[in-house]
Amino acid sequence: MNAPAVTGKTAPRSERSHGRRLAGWREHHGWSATASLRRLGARPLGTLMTVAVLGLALALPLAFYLLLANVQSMGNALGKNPAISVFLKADQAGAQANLLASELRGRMDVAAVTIKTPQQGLDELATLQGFSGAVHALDDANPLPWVLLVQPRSGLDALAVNRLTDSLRGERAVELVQDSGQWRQRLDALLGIGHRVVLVLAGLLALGALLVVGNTVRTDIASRSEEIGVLLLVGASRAFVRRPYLYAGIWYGLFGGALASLLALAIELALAGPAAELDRAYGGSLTLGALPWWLLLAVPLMAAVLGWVGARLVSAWQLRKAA
Amino acid sequence: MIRFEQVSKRYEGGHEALSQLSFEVAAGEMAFVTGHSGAGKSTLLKLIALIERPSHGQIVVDGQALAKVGRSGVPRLRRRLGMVFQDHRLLMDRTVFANVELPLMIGGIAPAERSRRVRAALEKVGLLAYERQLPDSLSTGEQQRVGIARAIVARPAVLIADEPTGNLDPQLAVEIMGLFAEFQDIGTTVLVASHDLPLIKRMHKRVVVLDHGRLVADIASEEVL
Repeated sequence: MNAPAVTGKTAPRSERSHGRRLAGWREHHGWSATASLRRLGARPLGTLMTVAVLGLALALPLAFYLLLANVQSMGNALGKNPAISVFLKADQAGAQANLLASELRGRMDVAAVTIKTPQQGLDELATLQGFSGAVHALDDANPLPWVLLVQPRSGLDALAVNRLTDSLRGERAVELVQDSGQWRQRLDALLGIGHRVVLVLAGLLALGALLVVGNTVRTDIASRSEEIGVLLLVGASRAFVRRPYLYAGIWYGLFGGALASLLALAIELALAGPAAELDRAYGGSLTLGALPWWLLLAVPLMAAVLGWVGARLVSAWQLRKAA
Repeated sequence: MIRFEQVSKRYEGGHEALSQLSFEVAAGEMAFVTGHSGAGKSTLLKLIALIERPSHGQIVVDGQALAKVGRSGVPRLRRRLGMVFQDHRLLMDRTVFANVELPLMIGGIAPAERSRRVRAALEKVGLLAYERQLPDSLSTGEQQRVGIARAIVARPAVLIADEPTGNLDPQLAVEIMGLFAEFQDIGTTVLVASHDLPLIKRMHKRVVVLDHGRLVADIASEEVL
């Protein structure tokens, strides 16, 4: 035993005993972690199967998450708050367009109004593939009306945008109102459902992962019932007996979660080519997202916690029977 | 010290394994419990190790009234006992050293101290040279000696053994009993359940005789012929 260097007194017996117990506890944790890892390695096929089931189960919600995030990102790139196109009647002149625009700018639910002249409309049409010939055929006649692009104030809900649209339709000078934001509302609604589905799926698959780990640990405990009996007879507490099985649960979860993250990355890589093509088609305006690094790290950690919970529940029940 | 006071044990099916049993084994004493099969020998040891609880009566082991030991206290009590079983109960996938080390590991003893004590216990039972082997590679007698080393390695105050020589030839059986007598010599209370009467007679120790769960004779060591 080392003599204390400063005081020259030995530590009280209870302190020494506490320190010894703590050191023993730490040592057994280390032993349990490595022993459980060795046991997993001793039956590689079974371990791989369990880890593969966990990995696939946890990769599924990640893949859905990736898909939804990209659809949302595409939706954002194509216009978070698209403008309402207000086509004036053909007989309305620029003065009426300016008058109506200044009226609309005064409204609380309108953020901005842009006036598009018939010439600007014709120029835009001419740039579109296949329309240039038709535009030239018009000679000097321009059938296009004045158009107001009304940008609703950001944060307006669908109902308020509908009220604004209805109000625009009621204007005497207006021929047609086109609310291109409706597709966005529908997309948002679909994404909302998608997010909910991902959450439910993640919950169900997490429960499945918990059951898979629980069942594997239950089989493990059942196959080692003799060893457990001996340990209990020579004075091991249930916590002591349980520890290697809890670590086994943690390892299963950690490896399964890591595999899920790797699978999700593989899916991301597989989609990278087509996504880049899509982005090019939209002139580089799409920002297609990748899975955030924190999520890729969090999945194995959360899976390890799940594995621990599964092993804890099953081992408590099994050891109660054994005791 | 082991004390039984009016102890009865009735199992769920109604079978009475022990009935109004009272006796005491003093600290540092060695005694045999004998009787025919089903006399209650194993039940008596199970009650001491808290594998079973008595239906009536009180048991005191090493100054501890077992009735007051709750579920969480059972491991602590067992760590103060050394137990030897007829079927050894060794872990076949661990080395001889690791088997003997178990009670010390459970007790949180530091590795260096553990190693010293395990080697001392293996030396005591004559198996130091086998420390790295798996129990499967040992003979039945050697396996039993590993079981004994495991039982004494934590220096228990009380050592109990259930038919420890049941599978051994007579010469090995005498050797094993000689080991138990040595532990008694260093102050350990030893209680051995055995139905091997010739061996018991040869040991010249106190004998408690059970019949259908009742104490029918308590023969002092000097009276054993």
